[in-house]
Amino acid sequence: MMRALGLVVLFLIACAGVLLVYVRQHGFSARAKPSAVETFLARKVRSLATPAGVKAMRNPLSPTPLNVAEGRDHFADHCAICHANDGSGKTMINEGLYPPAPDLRDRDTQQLSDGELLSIIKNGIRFTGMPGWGGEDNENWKLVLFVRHLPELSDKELELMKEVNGLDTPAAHHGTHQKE
Amino acid sequence: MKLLGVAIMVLVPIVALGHEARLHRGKPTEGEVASVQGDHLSLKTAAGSVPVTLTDETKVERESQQATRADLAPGTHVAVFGTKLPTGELVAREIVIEGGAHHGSKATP
Repeated sequence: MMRALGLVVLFLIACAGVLLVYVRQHGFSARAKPSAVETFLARKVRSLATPAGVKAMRNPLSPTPLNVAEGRDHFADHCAICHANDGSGKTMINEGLYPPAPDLRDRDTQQLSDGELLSIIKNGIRFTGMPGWGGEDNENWKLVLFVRHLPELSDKELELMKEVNGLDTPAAHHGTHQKE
Repeated sequence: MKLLGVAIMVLVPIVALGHEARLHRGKPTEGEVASVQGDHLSLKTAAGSVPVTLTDETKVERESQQATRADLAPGTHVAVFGTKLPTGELVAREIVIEGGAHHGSKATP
């Protein structure tokens, strides 16, 4: 038993040594992309760190054209600099973030509950580039509505966002988007 | 280190203030009131006619003083802050009357 434990400890020390040598030779770059394992673990930790009561929260606002449009203007004003107007995350800043912001139109984001999205907007995500914006819940719920609307964003809406922030949308945007 | 301290002192208030909803004024749509019908205005701008909707929360101001909807007579030059819907409709959050009624002034989209 003690022998097996000793072997495990030796193995872990050897792994740490290899990691140390690798890091000292190659260093870290925020331009690198996180591995699938790292991404998986980080999402699990974020999920565990979100209180159950928050996850269960439902958006009290209905997706009226005005609520969605107000969320759109807010997103254009504060979020698009990193996330891009279409939510794709194809921006100069995001390319240098570790971990980068995900494509908000993808399933990984869209399957989060309303409460989880609100919590991320309000409290941010530690050890990432996502700040906790705080702010009024009413405004943040409109942002949640807009994040839900991103997969169906129209060219006209992108044009209106450009009026607000002057940002061009990556050429890849073509209407409805929903990746698995 | 000192530079970092200064940067934090400058940036933190900017980020905090930047999220205040009251500061989301955006760019105004300027033009001349062409017609008024209840809660709806038609605004004549350089880019054409823009339908404007007033809500219960719409504020009307003239020279930083509160004004009333009755002040929005045809011919009045205004700057409208609000949210544009994809349909082209502008939902007004704040309408600023610019120096009283006059005609033929410059209008921007």
